[in-house]
Amino acid sequence: MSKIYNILFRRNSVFISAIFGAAFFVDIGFNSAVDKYFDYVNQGKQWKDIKHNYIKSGEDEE
Amino acid sequence: MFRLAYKPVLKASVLTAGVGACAYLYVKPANALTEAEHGLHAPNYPWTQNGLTSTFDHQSIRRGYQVYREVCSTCHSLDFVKWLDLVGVSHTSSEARAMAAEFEYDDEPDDEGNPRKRPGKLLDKMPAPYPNEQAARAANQGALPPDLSLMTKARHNGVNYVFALLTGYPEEPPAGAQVASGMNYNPYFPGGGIGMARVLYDDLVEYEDGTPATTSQMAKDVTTFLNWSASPEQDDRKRMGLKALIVIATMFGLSIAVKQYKWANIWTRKVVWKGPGSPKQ
Repeated sequence: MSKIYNILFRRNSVFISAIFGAAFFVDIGFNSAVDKYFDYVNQGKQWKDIKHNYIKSGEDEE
Repeated sequence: MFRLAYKPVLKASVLTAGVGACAYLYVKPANALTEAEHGLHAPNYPWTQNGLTSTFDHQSIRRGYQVYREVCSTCHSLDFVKWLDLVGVSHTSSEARAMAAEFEYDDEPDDEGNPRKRPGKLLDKMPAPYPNEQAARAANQGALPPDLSLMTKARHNGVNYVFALLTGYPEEPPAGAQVASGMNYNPYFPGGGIGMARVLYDDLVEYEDGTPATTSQMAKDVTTFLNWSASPEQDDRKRMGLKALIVIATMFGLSIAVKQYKWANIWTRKVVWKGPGSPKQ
């Protein structure tokens, strides 16, 4: 416990940067995890699952 | 004694009367209209977009657009949908461009002020079949084909109603049903008489993906398409909603835990008063 205190909480600058840094990475991780689950639940239904049938190779399209 | 008992008795009788009235109306609803005048209640169909985390079936939206284009669009407009909206939902951008270019739109007049036409672009809206309401009524025996952009939101029980209506035309109107001349009978339409005749018949369109074009398949696809056109944000809304619910639930749990922690001292403390008025030890 004191280790965590000494590393993280002791200096406010370190504490604040840790919060901002953690928010940044947790947000990315959380979003990609939920998106992955959402796409898994909706396998084969969304446009990204069927668009390969309609995009001719070599074209740069949505 | 009577004054004391008066209030609870009054409360209890009002409560009983209220509950009784609710129960009576639940068993025997006070309909201003009969079922036939209201239109039959549509059953609940198992749509693939039903459920908190279920997106539209985009292959079905694509087929539904085909049905709209080949069948519905001869009478019904789709004013709130742009060609661009189809891109990334059911069609690629070059497909949407090509489809838009098949229609003519008003262009700016030339140097002499003569009106000009130009092929459609992605930012154009879907072309309407009639220039105005009068033309639409004149072409449909006085009936106005409504705009379909928001139809699944504009009718009670939206998607189920649209599907039931499209597939609900009987071969013959039932005995006793009054249908005015030029009208068609559909039990799901309020009053039973509808200007639109049955339009979907098996193999009316030919799907490019090989799906058999039965009446119910076409009705399902076009209803899915109309549901998308009424709520195009639905897929994103469900995705964001799932994230929001998870975050909010986590925050709620955390706030409970923090509150318990902070209040533990206050709950468990014991206050003792020693001084004037305190009980003798």
